Amino acid sequence: MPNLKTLLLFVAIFSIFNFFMSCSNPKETKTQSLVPMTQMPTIVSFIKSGQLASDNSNFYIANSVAESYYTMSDTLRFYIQAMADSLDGDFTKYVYICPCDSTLILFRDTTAFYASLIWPGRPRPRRVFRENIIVGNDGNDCTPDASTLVAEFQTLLSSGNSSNNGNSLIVGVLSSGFDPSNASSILINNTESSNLNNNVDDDGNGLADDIYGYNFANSIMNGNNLINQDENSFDLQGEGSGINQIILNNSTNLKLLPIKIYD
Amino acid sequence: MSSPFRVACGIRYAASRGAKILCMSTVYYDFSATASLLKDVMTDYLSQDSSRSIFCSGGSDSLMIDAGNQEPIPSSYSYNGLPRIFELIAVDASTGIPLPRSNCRSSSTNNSIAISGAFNNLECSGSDSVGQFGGSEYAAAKAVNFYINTYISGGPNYFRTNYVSNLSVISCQQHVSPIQGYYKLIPTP
Repeated sequence: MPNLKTLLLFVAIFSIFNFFMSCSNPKETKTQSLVPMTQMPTIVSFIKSGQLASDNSNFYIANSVAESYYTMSDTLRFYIQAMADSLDGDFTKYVYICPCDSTLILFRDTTAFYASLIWPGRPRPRRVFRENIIVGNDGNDCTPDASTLVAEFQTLLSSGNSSNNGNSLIVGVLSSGFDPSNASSILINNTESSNLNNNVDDDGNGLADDIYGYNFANSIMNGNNLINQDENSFDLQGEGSGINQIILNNSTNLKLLPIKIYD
Repeated sequence: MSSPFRVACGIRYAASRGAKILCMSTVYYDFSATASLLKDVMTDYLSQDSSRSIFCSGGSDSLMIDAGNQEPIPSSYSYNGLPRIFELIAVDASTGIPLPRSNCRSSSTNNSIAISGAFNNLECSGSDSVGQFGGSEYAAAKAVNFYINTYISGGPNYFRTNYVSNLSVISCQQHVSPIQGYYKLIPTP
């Protein structure tokens, strides 16, 4: 049986060893204070289709996850948000989707913006700048630019009437409301009572009197329902009416859904 | 006064009513949790149906140009990860100079889609008064109209031309403008 003196000596040596070990690895201590190390593998594991790569501890790249950000689960979003929250809460600084190939990049800290990146199977980006500019080794700027957006716009246009399906196209206009003289072009909610201001949610969607769109600018909670304070989504200042007129110009088979968000 | 929360509610509602296109004439410099909620709602809206798209005003009064070097929302989402969001600004048809009420910020220099010939301060009458609007709000509405007329009137055998011929790419720093001092060049490596 070890005596008490031997036991105390053993504890003291163990404590000193631990102290020196923690001092010799300050980076790990710092990292843990920024992002829980145990969380990152969890985050990454949610990117099921991704081929993961990391060349240092600062970032991860998930490869071949086009569109996955847009369809990711709430759980993954929660984890990514939690990661951002553990830093400075700015979600967009730590998640970036390369417009070139939709590669999803998760940054663990801001220094990664200046780090060289390993880009599995793709041109290797040289540097990543704070202003959301990515430049590949070939000198090409991967930052989304107008030409990218115009090309996207063209793709959208050339997709034809797939979203029309022979019915009226519905355009939600978030503005100051609509002019009643345009009522024939407004999407009418027939499941709601025609009594415009009875403050009753007839169709049970949580919004009372949403016959001609809805007025979120002047609505209050009444139990579980939102009710309008004034005449539905009528435009009182003209801006929304003007926007509606422009959209309706020469258009057919179109219904507007007024969503009043300001007066 | 509007708020990102109201916009988020409106987008949810638009989705529930089957809206395929959203025209949004609001711009915020709000980076609170509410704004984060708005981005989540917009993400959901776009992810649930690939035929959905959002047209956003690029900005508004010159006083808010690049305020604190912060990007406005939601239009800046067009180049910050979300697909099928278009930031629209208005430029003079003859000079290409951004109109006074059309924001042109550092980040919009190479990201915005410009509608040329968008008149400033169009008069329009509402129920109670005559109001004015123009600039990027006009541009966003004009882009929606252009988009709708193109693809609805087309039909299955329509002749495809350059659909974006009326849209031009703008690079603000190349233009002489009274408010050019607010512009900031994109840094190059």
